[in-house]
Amino acid sequence: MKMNVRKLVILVTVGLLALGTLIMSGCTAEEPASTPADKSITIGMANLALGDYFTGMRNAVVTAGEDLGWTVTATNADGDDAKLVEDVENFISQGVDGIIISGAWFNDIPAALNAAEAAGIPVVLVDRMFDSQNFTAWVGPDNEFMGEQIGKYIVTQLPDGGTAVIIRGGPPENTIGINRTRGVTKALEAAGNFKIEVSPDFGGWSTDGGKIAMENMLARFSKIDVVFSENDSMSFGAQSAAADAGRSDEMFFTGIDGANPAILAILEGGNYKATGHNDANVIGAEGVAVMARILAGEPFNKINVMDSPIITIENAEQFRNAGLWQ
Amino acid sequence: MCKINPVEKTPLPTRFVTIQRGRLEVAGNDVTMHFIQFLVVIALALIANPLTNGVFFTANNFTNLMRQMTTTGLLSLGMLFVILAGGVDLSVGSIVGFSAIIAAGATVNWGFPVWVSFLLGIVTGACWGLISGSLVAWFKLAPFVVTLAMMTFIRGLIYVYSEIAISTRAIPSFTALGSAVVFGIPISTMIMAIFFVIGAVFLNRTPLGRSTIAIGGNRETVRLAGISVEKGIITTYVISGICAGVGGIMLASRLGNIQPSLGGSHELDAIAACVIGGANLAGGKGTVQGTVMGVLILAVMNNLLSLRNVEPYWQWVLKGMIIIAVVLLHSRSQKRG
Repeated sequence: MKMNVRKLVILVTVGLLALGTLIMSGCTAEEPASTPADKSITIGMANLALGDYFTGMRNAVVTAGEDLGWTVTATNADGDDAKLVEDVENFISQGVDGIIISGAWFNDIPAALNAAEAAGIPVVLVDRMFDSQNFTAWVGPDNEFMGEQIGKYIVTQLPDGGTAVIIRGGPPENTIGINRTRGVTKALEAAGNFKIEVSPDFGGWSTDGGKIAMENMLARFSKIDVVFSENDSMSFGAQSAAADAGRSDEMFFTGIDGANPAILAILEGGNYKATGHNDANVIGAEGVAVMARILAGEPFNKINVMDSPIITIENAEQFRNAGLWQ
Repeated sequence: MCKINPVEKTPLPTRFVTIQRGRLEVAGNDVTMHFIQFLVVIALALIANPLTNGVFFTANNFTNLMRQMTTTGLLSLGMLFVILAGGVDLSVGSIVGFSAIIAAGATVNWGFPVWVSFLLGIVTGACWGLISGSLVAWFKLAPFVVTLAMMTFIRGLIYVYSEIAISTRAIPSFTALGSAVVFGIPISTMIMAIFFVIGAVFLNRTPLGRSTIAIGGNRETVRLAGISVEKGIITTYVISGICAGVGGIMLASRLGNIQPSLGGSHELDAIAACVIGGANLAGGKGTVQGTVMGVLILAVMNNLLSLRNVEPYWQWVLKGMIIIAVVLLHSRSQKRG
């Protein structure tokens, strides 16, 4: 009997903890529903993954939606498209008025779009456009254009050409990265005097991943003139690897995303020279604005390309504190 | 040498249902854990409805719930066999991805009929199981290490085959299996249910199935009884491979766009479902019914938390807590037994 009592205690404890967690987290996420403003509108935001940039996107959508008095429910599929489909299906069960999907690096998730289409619920894609075209609207950047701008900047800085190292984020099917690298490569190849060396290791979009990839490239090449990483985090890693190797003065660094630390580094006038301004706040807010027009029955564009200016020492001051995460 | 029968029939008790020393027994089998699991599912469902403003008990949500548990269910069934025989199969997530992308590639790139592609996906799943099982059984390598290696090996091959996603959304016959619903029940869930029934019959009613449990319980005894331990172990990995292959095809058919990363970390959910269902990772203990309960608990919990708009991070925290609580419960009841 003694063990049974213990079993009961464990069961009750677990039950209470579970219930407590449920209620606790439920409270933080739901209350705006009772605001009188526009109580009826609920929006589900399905995120394929969260992380620096995509967390910024989620926050931008939630904030912009709540500013309009909407209830915004955000999910995280942790990189699993099957889970994202489940999240969308759950939104449909809940009877949301609209669904916003941040598909991160996936080129398509037809099951999610088909489910929403069958239920007659509008879908706005933010950042990532899908190959399937049965979404209602898309708001995002032109990644190839961003890459090309960086490439052209590199050409102006190195008129005699040189060795350019490219660090990719991966995984191999990630078309965001593929398009950024394609843009840079296009500009460098057009110049005709660059040796382009793509790191075989993926940097995983992180600073430590970028550092490892760069360490291997530094070992392979005795002279590197410029490094382009598919995002700022990896470029910081590359910059740190070059510093460790005592080769900081030999090269300069470029990235994309327009992260605040990158903007500050550019303002310092060191060897971090350019980034693309890929603003999750702008994209997320515009995604919500487009959804609002759809729900109100007003005219809207299906394809909305957001402006992604390049940030260099010339214009960095105007972007101070306007970038992504701190 | 004396022969020992590894699977002895327990004599029937005088009463069909008994409660002794805090244990619930039906026909002589201790079903206390199943009863508790059942209560957990019912409790989850009961708190789910008011918490989700009535959304939980809707036909649409039930269809979703059933569809969502299909792949995890199949993987868990296969995993149960491996765990029963004292192993573990970390490669099932990669097999899901491999079967899915091969089936899609065979249809889209090679022009195979859809049913042949599906079959190919399942057969390759079985082959991966055969390789893992053989390495574990014949070369006496640790299952964790072998299947960890197979996990990365197979995932690497997926990317070698296709760096980019393969789209099958324009092929209705490919996507039919994953999306078809009959009387509110997805076809894929029906297939999963059939697998569970076959699995239960195989495990409890066939000599090979019974010997699987015995292998995990006491390998030497099985050997002395003249049963091939190696054959038994390999069979469990092949079953796991087939289940993962079928799971991969269901998922591919449902999604309509197959990413090379598909199925990543699904093996962990399968292990979790088995453990919650009462399987012992040391082998020899676990039932199909328990695993069904484990799959149900995970699916209802995920669905409930998702509908309730609980931050995904809290979902991970809760899942971890539940697994530890269940393992605690099991270790208590086993010490007692």
